[in-house]
Amino acid sequence: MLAVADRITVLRDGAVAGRVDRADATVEKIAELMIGRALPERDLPPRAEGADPSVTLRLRDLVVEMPGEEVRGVDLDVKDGEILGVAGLAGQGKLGIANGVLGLFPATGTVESGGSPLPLGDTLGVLKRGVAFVSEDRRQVGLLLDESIETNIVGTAAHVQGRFLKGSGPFALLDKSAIRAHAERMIEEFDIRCQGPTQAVRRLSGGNQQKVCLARAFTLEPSLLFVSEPTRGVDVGAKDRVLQLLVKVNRERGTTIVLTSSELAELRQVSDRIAVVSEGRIQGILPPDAPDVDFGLLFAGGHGARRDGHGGES
Amino acid sequence: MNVVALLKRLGLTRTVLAAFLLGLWVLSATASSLDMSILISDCLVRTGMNGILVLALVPAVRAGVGLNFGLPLGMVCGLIGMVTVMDLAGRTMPLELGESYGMGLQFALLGTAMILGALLGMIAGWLYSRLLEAVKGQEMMVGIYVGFGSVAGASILWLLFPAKNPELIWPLGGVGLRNTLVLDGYFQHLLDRFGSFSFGNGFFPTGVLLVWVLACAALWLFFRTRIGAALAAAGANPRFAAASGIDVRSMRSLGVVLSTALAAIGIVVFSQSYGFVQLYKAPLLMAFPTVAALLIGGASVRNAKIAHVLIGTFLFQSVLTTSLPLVNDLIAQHGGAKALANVPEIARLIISNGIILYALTRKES
Repeated sequence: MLAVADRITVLRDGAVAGRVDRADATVEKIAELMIGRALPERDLPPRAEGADPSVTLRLRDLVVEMPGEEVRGVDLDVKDGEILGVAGLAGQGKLGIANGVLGLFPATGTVESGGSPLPLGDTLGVLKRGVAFVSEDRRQVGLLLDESIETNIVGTAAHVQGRFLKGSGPFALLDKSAIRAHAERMIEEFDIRCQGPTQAVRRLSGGNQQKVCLARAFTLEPSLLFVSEPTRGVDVGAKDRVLQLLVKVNRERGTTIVLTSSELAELRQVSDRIAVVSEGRIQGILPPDAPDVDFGLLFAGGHGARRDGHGGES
Repeated sequence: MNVVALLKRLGLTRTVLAAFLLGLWVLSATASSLDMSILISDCLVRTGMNGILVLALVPAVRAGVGLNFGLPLGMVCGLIGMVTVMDLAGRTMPLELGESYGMGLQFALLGTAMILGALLGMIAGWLYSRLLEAVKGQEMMVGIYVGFGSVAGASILWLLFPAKNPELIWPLGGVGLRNTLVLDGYFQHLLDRFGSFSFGNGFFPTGVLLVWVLACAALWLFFRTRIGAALAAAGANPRFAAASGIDVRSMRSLGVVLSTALAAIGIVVFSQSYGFVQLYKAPLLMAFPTVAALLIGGASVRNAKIAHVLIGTFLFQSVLTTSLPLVNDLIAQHGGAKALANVPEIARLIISNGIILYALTRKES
């Protein structure tokens, strides 16, 4: 772009973020405009500092064939009890990581959790290992839109863990009263605005639907939780509430969270570390208070390291 | 306002059909010479007779396969069950003319026919589900052809069936089963008459209705089990189900297997009520009125509840049962053209095919 353009206009969030002439333009300057300066205040409850946490999830050479979000060889260590942000531009593969680990798209590579390998491609097996997933595609993957709130909240736990059942085996009956009680507790705890646990999820607002998705994931009592785009299509008030919930569960239950989002600002608000994905690979891991410029450069595919041999790509 | 809300809840098709049925009954009671008690009794028998066949559609819809137009495949399995049982009974303990088997034996024959049919239905249903997996997205169209094909295939079987019971094979001897086998002496009206009581000149067919309601309750309970909930989730949103660790393919298979096995049981119940086992081309078009009944009950291609089965079967079968004798009676009274006697049959085709078309145009329930 720097080679051919006379003037460069940067768009962000549907508005012009700034214009620069070629003479003044540097990669750093453009990156800064792309990311935006507004750093939200970080006001998080402290966590108990202990010994150096161990690695709870180890990804090696993960390749995921998710159309539009291909992952082309990711190496990543997630530490026990942290909130790891995963940032990147749309289509660069950040969403593919969680979908690949959960077995929703064909994946190869090694994924280890707690020292033993997770079965790639076997969603049930992964869920049984205490991993939960809140999909970026709330309406298509995250919810049964025409079913009730309570069915959505407990469905996965009943199937995977055999909870909320009377008896055991495939023909065990769902325990309606236990389900109702749990759903009511979740509605209260997550502040889901609804007419009651039997209301169809389709009738809820985006933010409340997202809370149902989170409630479903937390019902599994996971030790490792993948959350993708939790604030997409959610109004501002509910956005904060959703992020607070994630932090709360992380601090209170020690749940490790891998939070994938297109909004860098919210990742910087809650994450301990932020991995930046571009072109299907991890370009680097930064602390949340790293300068905008550093993020911008990683978003664009690394510090010029890829110039040689790949000159034609950008 | 309340009336509008109530009508909305009832749905257009149910409201129209219920009003039409009520109109027919009022007309029958006032303007015709028909005996209302017999008419009501016939409506109930027809409802119980078709009930399980309509119920058989539900597991397939819930599993996301759509309306199972391949129902005749299951019916053929039920027919094989009945023919086998009748042949074995006739070979081992032949009946003299006018004789009947004892009550207990009749129940045993009926039960064996059902179990045999259901087992065959499960096997056929599993194979059918393999086929449907290969043609995802066009299940209903493919189902129609599976239904037609299975009836044609079964016709060959009927011609070659190694039956020895003379009541089953052509009177002139040789091989091949008759078009219509008479169930008199075997289990004709066994369920209809079981625990029945009379009112006026008609009777209340307790047994057949009880079997139907029990089957409905069993399926209702099934959808409240862990595996039933997984099946419904796989049908409602396959991607959600996959993300919850549900094996969507096996759940779809299970839905088709259950549907086919229930169709086999359904045709046995149908035949005992009807009094005859009809072979060859008889099951060819039977899926269509069954589907229509379910849709009239309020179901859609993607959603079917047990309540839809109960309401739909009664409304649809009652309208058909009432209109035929009523029109004939009115024609006779007023000396109308005999050709008008075809009107109920035409109405049946318009209602059942029209309602299927209407339902297919609606994407959401």
